[in-house]
Amino acid sequence: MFRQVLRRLSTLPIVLVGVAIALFVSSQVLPTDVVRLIAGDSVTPELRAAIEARLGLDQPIWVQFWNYMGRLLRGDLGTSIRFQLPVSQLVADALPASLTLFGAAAVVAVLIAFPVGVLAARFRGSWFDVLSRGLVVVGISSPPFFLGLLAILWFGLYLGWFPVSGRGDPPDLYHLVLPALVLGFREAGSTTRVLRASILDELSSEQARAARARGMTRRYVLMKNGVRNGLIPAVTDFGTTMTELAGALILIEIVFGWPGIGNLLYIGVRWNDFPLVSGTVLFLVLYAVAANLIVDLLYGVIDPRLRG
Amino acid sequence: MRTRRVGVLALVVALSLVVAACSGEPNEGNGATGENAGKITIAMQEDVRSPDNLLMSGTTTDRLMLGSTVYEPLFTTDERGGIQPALATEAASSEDLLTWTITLREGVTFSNGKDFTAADVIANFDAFRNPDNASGYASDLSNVESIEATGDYEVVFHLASPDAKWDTALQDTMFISDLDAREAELLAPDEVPVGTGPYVWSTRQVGSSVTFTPNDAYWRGEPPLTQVVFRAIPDGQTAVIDLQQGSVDMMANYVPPQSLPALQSDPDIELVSAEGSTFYQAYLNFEKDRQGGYADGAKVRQGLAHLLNPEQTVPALIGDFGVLATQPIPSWMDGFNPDIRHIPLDVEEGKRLLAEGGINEGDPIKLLALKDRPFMCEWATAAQSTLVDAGYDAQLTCLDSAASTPQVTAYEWDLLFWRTSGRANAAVMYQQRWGLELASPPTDTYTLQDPELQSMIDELRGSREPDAYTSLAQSIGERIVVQDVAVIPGYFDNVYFPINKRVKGFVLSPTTWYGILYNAMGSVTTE
Repeated sequence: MFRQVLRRLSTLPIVLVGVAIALFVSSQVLPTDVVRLIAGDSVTPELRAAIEARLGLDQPIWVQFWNYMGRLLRGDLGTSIRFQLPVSQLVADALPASLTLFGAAAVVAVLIAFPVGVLAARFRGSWFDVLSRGLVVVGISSPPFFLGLLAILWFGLYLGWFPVSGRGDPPDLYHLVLPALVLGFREAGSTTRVLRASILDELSSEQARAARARGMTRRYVLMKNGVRNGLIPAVTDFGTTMTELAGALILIEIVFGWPGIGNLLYIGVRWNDFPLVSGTVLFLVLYAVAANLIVDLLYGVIDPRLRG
Repeated sequence: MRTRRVGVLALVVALSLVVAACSGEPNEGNGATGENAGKITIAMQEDVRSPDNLLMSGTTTDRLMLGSTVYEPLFTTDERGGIQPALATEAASSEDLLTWTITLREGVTFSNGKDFTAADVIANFDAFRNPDNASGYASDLSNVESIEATGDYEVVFHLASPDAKWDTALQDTMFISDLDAREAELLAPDEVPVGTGPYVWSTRQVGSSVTFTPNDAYWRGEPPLTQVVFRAIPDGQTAVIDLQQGSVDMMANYVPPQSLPALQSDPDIELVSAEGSTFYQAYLNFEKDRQGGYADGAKVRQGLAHLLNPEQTVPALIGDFGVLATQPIPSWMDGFNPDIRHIPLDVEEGKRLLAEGGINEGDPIKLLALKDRPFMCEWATAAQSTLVDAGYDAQLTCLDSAASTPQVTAYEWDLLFWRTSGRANAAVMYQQRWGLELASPPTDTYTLQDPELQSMIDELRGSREPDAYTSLAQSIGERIVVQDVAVIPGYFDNVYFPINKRVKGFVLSPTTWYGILYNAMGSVTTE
């Protein structure tokens, strides 16, 4: 297990450098005009030159790249063009909001996926199974922003139960409910489906049939054979889902005006703020690696055979 | 069977608990009295970029947030665009219009207690003009040769060329801060801006909100609100729902057009609106003509104008979003020419002129439009359809404005569906939008480059007599639209500020293209 963690961590620098290079290349290829974004549409040649000099855009591309990589190696994510603040500070300020939403969405996803998956397998073919499969399809196939807008419309405008944007001042759980429910519901879909299918596979296995033949109760067989063995593919899927959560998070943060990393990335893209985009994307890459690592560790907890 | 019943019962109980939890606490909007009395929350599309007054020229959000709270300009604007005193009380020009003397208000202090004097004006304007600061205001001050203080409360600006309306260049812009309070070239991250305005910067959640509290030493008297909060809500639809729900009191001018009917019919909301000055246009290509891209550029422009009469399409497309435009300045602005009409729709005449210009049926006509500006791509699509019906190979590209510069400055387009923000008066508008100063291919959009037009603009800027000014401004409009056929005017957007009816005293100005008077927060109150 320790070796597995080390192996995973040893690839991290290569991944980060690769992503950083890809980000820099894309920033050069995309046809955007940072100066116009900063100064508006009345740009004299002198002003253009002054702003480009300030941002270092007057340097040759290889010098810009060298400076960028040098800064990254020193742990300096640069200064945001949009906010005129250090990107590391912006990311640090936004991190609690995103982690809160991540955590809450993960809890919602677990609370939905695991009970519903187990119950749907247990009562296969029942109305509950049909309903849960329908909801799973809705969760998987609906774009997060669409679900977000629906939730805002119903629970915010029509029912007036929840605030529809922001985090509250000071931040409160009340503002967290809608974005976490939408994000969690969406991410629960895939895991519910996998868990249901894998439990059904396990229940139709020879071991399960043998256990039933030996007089074990249906519940015992469900829990010992079905759920325990069915958890491994479900946890794998949950890990993948948590990695994908980063993509959905960006959209959800925009729709709900949630001041997190995704919102920062959105602002960075809108403003062609390369340091901000670079900093937030690198952070999301770190998150994805960490999520995969946690899943690897969870395998060992669930299945002792994988601990070696 | 028993197990199934227990399962269903557990599900019902769980759902009941969820519903009870959800409905237990009603949403606390600002519509409530008590702790929210005197507090106002305004939805903005994005967070402030920088509170630094040197860097605010290109960012609407910063000017709106900081310019209505912390900072003040020398002059401000009334509801009809007229100039009003703010930190300055009077502006007087010399006979030759080359020297402007600005008298400053006495008894004004910055929020840190320091007295406001001519030295602050000099320091700020020097900083605006210093290329090292990369301030967008530097280009607006290109006509200024020098600035000097002739007393504690008097400043003299020496200009390079005569300008009868130069005082309007100071209107609602170039805000004054206490530069002595700045320790670094740019504001340090933990440093707050210091101005003379009614409110002071209090707290900020980056990307989310900025809160302002009253400046107790404000020179106009105690500010009426206890707290002004600007909240960044990027999605317009969400902001509208927030407004209807009562968690924000006012929304800046980014109402999605499809939400207008809902806001108009909401009894708790007043939809304050005015005809704006942001000009949506189909710009014609003089640079391509200069590069020999047309057999006869004038004929091409005239032909396209005959084929694409906006009266046929624009009103139906934009609805309540705006009004049809006939020239680059809006109908309420001095210098508007009521005699200018769109070039009449005449397909056969249009095709004849295009053929004389070197574009025959089946030939490509390239249209470029900004898809992130309201109805630009839709208008361009309608134009493409018209041109295809007329037998041309009309090719349309709709692209994001942030990514548009390379394609725009390639000058391969025949029609550019483009938006330009308004200015306070015709002289400034024509100088900054149609003057030679910005007409600089290959790096910019403005391809007209008409020296005769520039001399008319110069004359307009030096015109003291009101009737002569109006007449000259009208002639300039006619020259651009009718004689040069430099543009097919499309529409001006309306400025919309939906506000909760508990908010009183809000004044909307059409001349500030983002729609709010800069001292607005100084007069707004809540019930």
